[in-house]
Amino acid sequence: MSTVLTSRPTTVPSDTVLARLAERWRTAGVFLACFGRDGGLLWHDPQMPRLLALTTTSDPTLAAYVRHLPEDLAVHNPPPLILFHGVQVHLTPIARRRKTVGWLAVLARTGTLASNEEFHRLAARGALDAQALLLQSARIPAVGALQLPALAALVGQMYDDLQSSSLATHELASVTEQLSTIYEEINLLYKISSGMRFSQKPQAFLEKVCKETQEIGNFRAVAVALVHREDESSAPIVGEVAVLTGQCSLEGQELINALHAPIHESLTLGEAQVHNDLSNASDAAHVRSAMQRFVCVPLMRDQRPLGVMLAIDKNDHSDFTSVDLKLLNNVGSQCAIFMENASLYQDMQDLFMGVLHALTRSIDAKDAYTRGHSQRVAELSKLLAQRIGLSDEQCQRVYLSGLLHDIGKIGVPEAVLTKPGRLTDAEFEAIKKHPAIGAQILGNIKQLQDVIPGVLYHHERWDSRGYPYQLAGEHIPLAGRIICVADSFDAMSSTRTYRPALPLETVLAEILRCAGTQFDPALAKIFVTLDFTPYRRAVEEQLLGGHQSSAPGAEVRFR
Amino acid sequence: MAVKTILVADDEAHILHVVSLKLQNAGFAVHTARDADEAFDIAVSTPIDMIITDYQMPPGPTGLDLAKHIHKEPGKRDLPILLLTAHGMGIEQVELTHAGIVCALSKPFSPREVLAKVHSLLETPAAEPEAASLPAVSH
Repeated sequence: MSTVLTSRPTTVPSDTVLARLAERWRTAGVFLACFGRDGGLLWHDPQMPRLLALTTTSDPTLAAYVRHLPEDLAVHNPPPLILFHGVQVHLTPIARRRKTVGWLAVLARTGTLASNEEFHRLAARGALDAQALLLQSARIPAVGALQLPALAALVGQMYDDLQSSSLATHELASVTEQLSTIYEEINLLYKISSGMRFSQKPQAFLEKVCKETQEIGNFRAVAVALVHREDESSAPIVGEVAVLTGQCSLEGQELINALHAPIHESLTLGEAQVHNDLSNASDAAHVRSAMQRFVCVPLMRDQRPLGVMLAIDKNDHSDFTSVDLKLLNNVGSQCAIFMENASLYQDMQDLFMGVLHALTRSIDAKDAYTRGHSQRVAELSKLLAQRIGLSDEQCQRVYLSGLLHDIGKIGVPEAVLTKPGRLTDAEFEAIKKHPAIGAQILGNIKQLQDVIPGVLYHHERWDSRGYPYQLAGEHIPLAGRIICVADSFDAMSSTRTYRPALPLETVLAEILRCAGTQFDPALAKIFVTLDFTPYRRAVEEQLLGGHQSSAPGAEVRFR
Repeated sequence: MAVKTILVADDEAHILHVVSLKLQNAGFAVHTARDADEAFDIAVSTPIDMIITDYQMPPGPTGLDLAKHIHKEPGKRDLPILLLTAHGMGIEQVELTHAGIVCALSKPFSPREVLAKVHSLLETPAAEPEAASLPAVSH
């Protein structure tokens, strides 16, 4: 039996509603059927008594009657059709959007059934014994003939109510599904923004974001590619793919080359490019081999292109929708914010280090013999710190202390610093002030507080005969003890006004000789086992070139 | 395996709908309640396998109160209860343990993660291959 008295595209078959309605009215002796505008029977209660079922399905009078009903039945309100004595049917319109789309037929036994010719004909049509049918039908509960129109109207109203309620339930389910997706999105964006730490490597952050986006959007692959920072020219050039999560047969530069045109377009226009159908694109053969559809979202801040985010294929093979685009745009803008801040943070770091290097170089440069000294001490100290197992953060701190350890020399008269001969006691006292002066200079900079101990105590001696405070042994902060060794090593290894550079073996022997007196014995023993090849290279370079060849702000690294 | 029944309590209708739908689509039977009292009545009169409850459901008792009272009922001492609450509510871990709450999730929550957590707490096989890791309530 065909169903469908559905109006709007809904998956609700209205015969479910009809079935529920029929069930409620059956016991009262009211039975339901449903006809189309053309008089065709669309549905009838399967538990209808045989007589009524026969009537609804095979009575030509009824069919003709329905066919000729006026559309605005409610206005005309005809009396019920008496099919044959004892059975009546009343029809109420079923309307959708103010148009009658069918009729709800309400049938009831309203009187005593007579075994007349018509009855026999009906029984014959159904291949039934008329007598038996009569007996059975007499047991159908009777309904008052006068009440049937009102009852029919009531049934019609109930049908409308049940139908609305059914549609509402399904709409609610549909809305809830969408709401659930929105919850996922909100959760993702919340996680992204609360998890953003600008000091973390972009790689880690972007990977996390791509993976989450891929899962929530059900995409096959998500990638982020970055714009080269140097290229401020008119055409932004997208560099390597920073991150790709999921599966894609094209990777890295291949992927960028394949999607070169849409990437370029999205960055120039500042808008996402959605390509759901690649069949027409002329140069897309290469792309087509790897994917069926993709979206390219530009990552921009203040009109500046920072990169692109690519979403490739959906796992259910459907097209990218505006919902997907919204998700990608939102996530994309979060990424852009992160990337901009991460690069600003990096700029700040670079600036900071650049200034430090410039500062320390300027101090070292007063004396040709000390040129590069701070840098070398910083590197050596860091090596030693790493060798004894300090954390990355601690090693970096030791490095900075090493770099800044002689900054206090700015307060020492130049004449004293560069004096070729022996220093007088007074001159020596002036020099001994430089650790404290250095600490004082750094004292006002909040971010460098942790660096001060290395600067202040690098001339203390293990046997407490150092300066400025005559601290002994482990009372001397570790950074100070480390830099002390590195500083002395470099001093002995470089040419000075009063003597030439000592050979490595001599210097190392001297370090060991002074272990326990000038130096922390444990540190001294470890220090002499370091690899000094990079150090020697740095010294040679210094002697040959005299200038650092790298760009300002960059550290000279032992290669 | 018998169908597991979950009771979801929240004063906000949209959360009830979203969580219920997610669970129903995954094959669980779901009862809903709009406050702690209603939830308690359902929990003691119907066999349920787990409760997911909001924390604040004014004007009545909180989700923590609900958990404490449920766990005092005979046969319900080990009923797993999952708390959903606004981020930063400042509920101490001690309070959660005392009330017998096995897990707390903060809102905004991911429906997928809630489902994954339900699967892991009830030890039912999850449809999705990965079990998401969830943020614990902070503080």
